[in-house]
Formats: sequence, structure tokens, C-alpha cells
Amino acid sequence: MHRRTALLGSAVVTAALVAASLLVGEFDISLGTLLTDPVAREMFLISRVPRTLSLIFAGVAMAVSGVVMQMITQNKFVEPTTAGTSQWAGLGILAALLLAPNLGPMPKMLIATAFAFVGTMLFVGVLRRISLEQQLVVPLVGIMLGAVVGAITTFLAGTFDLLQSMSAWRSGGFSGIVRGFYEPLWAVVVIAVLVYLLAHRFTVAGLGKDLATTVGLNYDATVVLGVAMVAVCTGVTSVVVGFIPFLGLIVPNIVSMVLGDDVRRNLPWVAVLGVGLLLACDLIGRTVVAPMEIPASVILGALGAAVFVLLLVRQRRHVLA
Amino acid sequence: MKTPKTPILALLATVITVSALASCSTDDTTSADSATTVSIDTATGPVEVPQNPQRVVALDNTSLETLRAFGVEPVALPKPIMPYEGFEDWIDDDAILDVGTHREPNLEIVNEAEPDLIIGGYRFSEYTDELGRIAPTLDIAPSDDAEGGYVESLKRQTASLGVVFDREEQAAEIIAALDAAEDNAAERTTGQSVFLSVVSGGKIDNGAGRIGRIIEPLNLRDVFAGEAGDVHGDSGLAPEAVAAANPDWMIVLDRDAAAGEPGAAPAKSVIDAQEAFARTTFASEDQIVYLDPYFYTRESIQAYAETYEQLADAFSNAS
Repeated sequence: MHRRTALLGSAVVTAALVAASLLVGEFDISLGTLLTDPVAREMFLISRVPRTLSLIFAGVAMAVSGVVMQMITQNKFVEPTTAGTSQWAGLGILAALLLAPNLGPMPKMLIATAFAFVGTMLFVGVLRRISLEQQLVVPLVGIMLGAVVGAITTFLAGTFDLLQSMSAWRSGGFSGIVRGFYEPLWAVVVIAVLVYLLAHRFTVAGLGKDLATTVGLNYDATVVLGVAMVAVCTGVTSVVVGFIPFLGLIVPNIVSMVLGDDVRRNLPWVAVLGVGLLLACDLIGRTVVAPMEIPASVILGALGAAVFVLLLVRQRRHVLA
Repeated sequence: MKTPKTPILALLATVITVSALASCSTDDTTSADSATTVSIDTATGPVEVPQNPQRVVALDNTSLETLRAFGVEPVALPKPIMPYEGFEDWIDDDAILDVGTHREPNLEIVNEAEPDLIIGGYRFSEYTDELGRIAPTLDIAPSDDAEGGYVESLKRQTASLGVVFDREEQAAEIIAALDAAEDNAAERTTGQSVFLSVVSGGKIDNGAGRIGRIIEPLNLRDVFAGEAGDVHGDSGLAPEAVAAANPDWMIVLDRDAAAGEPGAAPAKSVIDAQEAFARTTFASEDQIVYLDPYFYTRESIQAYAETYEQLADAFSNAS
């Protein structure tokens, strides 16, 4: 009963944050001006609606990616930024900038997605070759791989005088999102629905290869499919808004603490909480230094690092107990 | 008994060699600098340097255009951070050594260039001490913290270079050109509001921290000045915030153009596509000034003079 209230409460809070996101900003937009002023209405459609939608989509993308990756790797600390997926997407963006600077966003996203896919498969491949007894080794391997890829990206960017562009992109945020810049994120909605439909497969995959195979799951196909979906989510999100760290880690962990590990039952709540958290971070970033902004990813990074440590400490207590 | 002798001998040998070397080097400098030396005021106090040095290592990119005007060809340069346009001959000349960027400068190369004078400072200011051990090093780079601000310190830098290279008259002409352009621009600007922006990675951001110096001597008001408006770097700025501020003018530094293909104007396409700007004064009156994309790597007195001419033209055409 308590759990249900908590979850419903989070849904109400998220809805309130959506409303706030639509109404907070530098331009004079309020319920009153929306009804009476065509200029305010126009700006609402140009700026507020796209920004809010992109926050919702990116929140869903990263939270759902986190769930899928945690099931595939059977590890609670894995998500796109701790598994190197985001860093590979970044390398893909740099490759696109270097090889074909005049590419539109769509081909760029395809390249970023392809890199994210290859990188994540590499990570999954490495995991199969090492012992997974140690829960902490898995994210460490991912963070390490991500750091190596990130370093290569920075080196290449420095060599070709693209550091400025890369850092502008990497510190990504939603400040620049307006109509015409966020539309590719609709792809995430398709992926989220797909994950929901395939949820039971991921739940079973989360039991481990042997058990999953015994109950008749094509384990390898499920892993490849899962990685592909995560790659699309991460690739698209990276190109449109940049890195969104830790969201995929915090949210699925909190939800499975409350509800357990049934992916299909958890997924809607993961999405709601992911959206709520990202909206909250973006709203903080939008207001504290107005009219300038602090990217949501920076606030999320600070928050996420703290929660990451908290989860690690919890984990340790479990092991000791 | 034998063992103690050797170190003493070695020590003696060292002392002899060092004193020989020392006398050598003093001989060298006196013979090379048979000409006079001059004392120059720098950011780190007065420094005595040879007048008309033959081998100059120029690290402060803001000095390059003046050096070129004086006919001075440096023996080593930080090639990766130089403006790509206008210095192709120096960049492509393999006889001019490449020190690398200020992030990881190769001081060995500076040493190898056997300079009589190093023009350091600016992005290389943290290396002043190390450079000073190689050769006399001047930090006369313009700076926001200098008395009178950046633009004033550009003039002092030029005057100092004039003294070092015995081109005082030419330096005075260059300074006069800036003064004239500056006055002209100051006259045409009558309190209009302006948004100073940097377009980088396709994002339109507040550029006050980078190009705010330009409007120092002008009669313009930065719409985001003060408070958080001065925050710059990886903070963002929503297009609707610019629309809400509705400045009369926009001055743009196109960082993407400097990094990309020649002739490309990425910033213009980004700004033109920005629906949120449609109703602003600067967009509807077409009052947008695009700076030379190399302004950021030039930042020289010549670049400022050109920019003031450009602004004076733009503002007088508008009024």
C-alpha cells in the first residue's frame, strides 16, 4: 500500500514538473498570456513544448536503457555512461564531424548509434570473459573502457582542433532545444514501446544465461537486441542533447528496490521517475543562474555520483551481512 | 686513500668546466648583442632585452601581426593555435619551428631555436619563468586585468614592440589606426543594446567572456551584462532568453567557421534557422555583425582596428 502511494506520488510530482517545465523560462509565458497573446503562444510552441518533450524522451531513453543493460549484464551498476556506450556514441559523433562535417543530424545519429552498438557489444564481450562474481568489477570495466574511448576522442578532437565543438557538445543540455532540433528523439518512444513489449524476455535474461536458456529463451539474440535498442537510445540522445550521466543507474535501482525485478511491471515507473528526475535537474539548471543555464547533465552528474556511492555502500553492507 | 681523491678531482673538473662555460656564454652574449639593450615594462616588471633581436620566438599570438608589419620573421611559433588565414607562409615554412599549443608547449623546441628574445605571455604566461631561463622573455600581452582594460593594453604592447624592434614610428601609426577606428565606432554607437554571442558546436551561447572586451570603449550595452550574464563557458543560453531580452544588435563570433572548412559560415545558418529570433529587433532589422572567424586566434591590435571599422560601418548604415 505504501509502495503504491509512493509511486503514485512520484507520478503526480512528475506531472507537476512537466507543467513547470512548460511555464518556466525567460520569455513571458503564463496561462494568461497563452490565452490572450499570439506571440507567447508562438514561443510556447517554438521553445517550451519541444524542450519539455525532449526532456521527457531523453529521460525515458536513459532510464529504460539502464534497465535493459542491467538485465543483460545482470549487474545493478551498469548504464550507458558506466558501460562506455555514451563515450562510444561520442566517438561516433567526432568521427562524423571529422569525416563528413556537413552531414545532417540524421546520418550523424546513425553513425553515433553504430559506434554505441559496437562499443557496447565489446563491453558485453569482455564481461563474458571475466568472472562476474565481483559485482563491482563490471562497472569498473565499463568505466575503464569508457575512459579509454573518451581519451581517444579527446586526443583526436585536440589533434583536429575540434576540442571546442566536442566540449560544447559533451556538456550537453537542453538550453538550445527548440522546434526543429529535437524531433529525432521521437525514435526513443518507439524503442520504449518495444522494450515494454519484450520486457519478459529481459526479465528472463536477467536470470543469467544458463537459466534463461533452460526456459527456452534465445539468450544471445536477446542480448544483441537489447544492446541494439540501448545503442539507438544512447546514440540519438547523445547527438541531440549530449551525455546524461547516471540517470539510467539511479532510477532503475530505486524502482527495483521498491518493486522487485519484473521488467514489465517496473518499466512504466522507471520511465516516470526518469522523466521526473531529469525535469527536476533541468528546472534547477534553468533557474539558478538565469538568464544563463547550467546543463541538466551537470546537476545530474553531481547528484548521480552521490547516489552511486550510496548504492555502492549499500551493496557492501549486503555483502558483509 | 685513492677513493676520496676522485670526487675532489671530479669536483675540480666540474668547477673548471662550469666557469669555462660561464665565461663562454658571457662572451657570446656580449658579442652577439654588441648593440644596445632596452628596458621594457612587462606584466612581471621591467625586463632588459636586446634591441633588434635577430632570433625571435613569438608565442603570444596577439603580437604576430605587428611583428609581420615590422618585417620580423620568428624562428619558432605555436603553429596549432595561430590563425590559419593570413599566416600560411609561416605555418608551412618548415624552417620555422613549431612549439605546439599552450596546453603542452615543447620548450625543448624553444631552446633549440636559440632565441635572442622570446615574446611570451598571454596563453603562455604560466611558462614565463621557464622561458626566462632560455632567453630574455617579454610578457607584454594585452590583458583584461591591465590598467585601462584589454584594448588599452593592446596599444601599450604595440608601443613596446616598437621600442624593441626600433620601429617606434610604425608602432605609433598602428596605434593611431586603432584609435581612429575606435573613436569612429564609439561615435556611431549611441547606447544600443547588444547580444554578444559565440556560436560553437552549433550552439548559440553568451560570448561576453570572450568578446566582451570589444565593446569596452564603445557606447553599447550588453543585454546580459552583470549578474549571471557574465558566466561563460559551458553554461547554456536558451534562444527564448535572447528573444526575451530583444537586443537591438547581435555581434557573433563564429567558432565553428574557424575550425571548419574555409568560406563556411555555420553560425549564420544556425542563427537564420532560429525561429525564436524571428520577432527580435536584431533579426528583423538584420542588425547582426559577424566577426572575422579568426578573431579569436588573432585578437591583435589589427583585428580590433578592423572590427571597429566593421562596427562603425554597420552602425552608420543602420542609422
